[in-house]
Amino acid sequence: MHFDLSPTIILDEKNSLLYGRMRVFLYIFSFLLALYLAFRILFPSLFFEFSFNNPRAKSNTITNPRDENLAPLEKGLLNEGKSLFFNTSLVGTYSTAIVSMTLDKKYPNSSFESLSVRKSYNAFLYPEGEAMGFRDGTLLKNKSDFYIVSDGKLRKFAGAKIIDALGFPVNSFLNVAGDELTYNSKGDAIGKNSGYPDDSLFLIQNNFYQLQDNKLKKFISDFAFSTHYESGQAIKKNADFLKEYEIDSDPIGFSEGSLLSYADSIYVVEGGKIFPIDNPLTFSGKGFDWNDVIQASADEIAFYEKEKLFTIASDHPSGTIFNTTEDHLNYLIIDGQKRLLPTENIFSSWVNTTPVPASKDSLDIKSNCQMKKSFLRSNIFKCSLPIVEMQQLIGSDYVFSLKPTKETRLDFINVEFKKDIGFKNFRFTAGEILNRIKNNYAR
Amino acid sequence: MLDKTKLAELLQKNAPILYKLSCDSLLILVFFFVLVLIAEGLLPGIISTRLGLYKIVVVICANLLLTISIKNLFLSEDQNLPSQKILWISLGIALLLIFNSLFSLPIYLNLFILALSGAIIFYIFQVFEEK
Repeated sequence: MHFDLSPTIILDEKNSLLYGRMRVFLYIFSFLLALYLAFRILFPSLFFEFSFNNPRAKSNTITNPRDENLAPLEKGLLNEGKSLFFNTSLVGTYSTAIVSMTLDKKYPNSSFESLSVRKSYNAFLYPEGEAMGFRDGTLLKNKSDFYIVSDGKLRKFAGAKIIDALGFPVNSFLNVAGDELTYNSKGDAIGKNSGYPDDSLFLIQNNFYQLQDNKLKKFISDFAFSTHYESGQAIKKNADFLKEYEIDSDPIGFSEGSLLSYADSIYVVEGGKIFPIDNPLTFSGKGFDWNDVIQASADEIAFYEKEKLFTIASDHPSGTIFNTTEDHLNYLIIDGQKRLLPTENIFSSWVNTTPVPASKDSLDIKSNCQMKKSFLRSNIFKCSLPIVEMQQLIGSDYVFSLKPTKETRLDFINVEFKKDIGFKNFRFTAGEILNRIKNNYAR
Repeated sequence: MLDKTKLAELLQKNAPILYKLSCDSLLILVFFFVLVLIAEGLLPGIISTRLGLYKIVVVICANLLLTISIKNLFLSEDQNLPSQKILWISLGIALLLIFNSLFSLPIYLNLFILALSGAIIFYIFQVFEEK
């Protein structure tokens, strides 16, 4: 059967042969083009860039280029001896990262020490601070001694009678070992006439309150309270107690790092604000657990100021706990530091959401390459980093670092993440595609 | 450099082959575009993030223009008759496009609208045939 779209046009034998050959060539060319496109889809590259001439441009997908003091580079100027750090955030497995830097032509003799990259979560790479003690408001017991953590300090109750007099629920005191108490600094003892210490918790007319700076701060809801403390820790009081202290106009919301859902969005809580998560890929890419999402009411959401989108490039919020897969240690992210939660009890006093798994090896495993001048243009330096070995590390952030040997000025940075053509990558991409199709059908 | 007369002669001589090839390439492009639209319907962004769909549209329009130009400039009237095969292929592609655009509807409704569209196109064609 002869498939001809224009049968009224009849060719002689010679032209028919020529047409037949050209047609075959056309179909082969089309097939190869389709195959090339299929490879681009199944083994996609991801591109990132940053322009120091336009640092606020939306097209800048490389985040936070900075020196070792975390200061942004002023117009791309990198002084001698200063290191450059920058991040890219992505989900997926890649084989190679090709970094290209365009330098200002006024610095013709620029050169660099090696470029290195680490893969993890950026928050997990924060500087490590001192080990963390118990959370404020925690009630502790060691042998026959009773304590409350107030303003970060461990305050001992002068005796069991004081506890009864003040109304602290005895069963809520957590039994801890003596060495666990060393992680909080010691505060003043609580005697007969001391009154309630800061961070004491109260339940008054079905509302929870916390004493701070001699004022009662109300929790916006029971759910919000439960993200901080157990309900049994609160001292039950009647309405008259509200007259004894000034009520703070600033209530307490959900614990830092809480995940709230309202309407079709999920929000991350940090610093009295909520950040909507841009898509489910970011949610799972950041290691969050769907079981930790709290269904919030309109009133609870209205308490917060809505901020910009929380994307894959955003750092984990304060209050996040990382759990290392190698040795199962827990680290709390707080105030730009990563702090070890040294014991199970201390961890329990802080935990609010499921700890995010992290790789401890990510702190040490690096890939390096030497930046070399491009053959065609002397102000472009390129380097190819093998990152296959890092793919088993948990995290969505690649943190690059580079040190110039002389002062230089950068105009652009480009990073291309490439996948090697292979069965493993093909299977991964095909699996992702099938999952997306399933999700679309399930809607 | 070829002068204009020789170029015109060359084109006239090879116009039938060029016309046939441009029809073939048009079919390939339209078929490819339909597959891309179906893929985009199933997985939004799977193609469009890597290849702008407008580029395919521009190439199709350019090919169509080329086909029509060759037909009108170099081919005689009796060679200009449209092929029945092209008609059926075009109808098939049109129905696929309609099906794809109604993808989010329940399947039975989609098929009903498709059948209805096919019947309308058929009757319009019948009317023009009679005229």
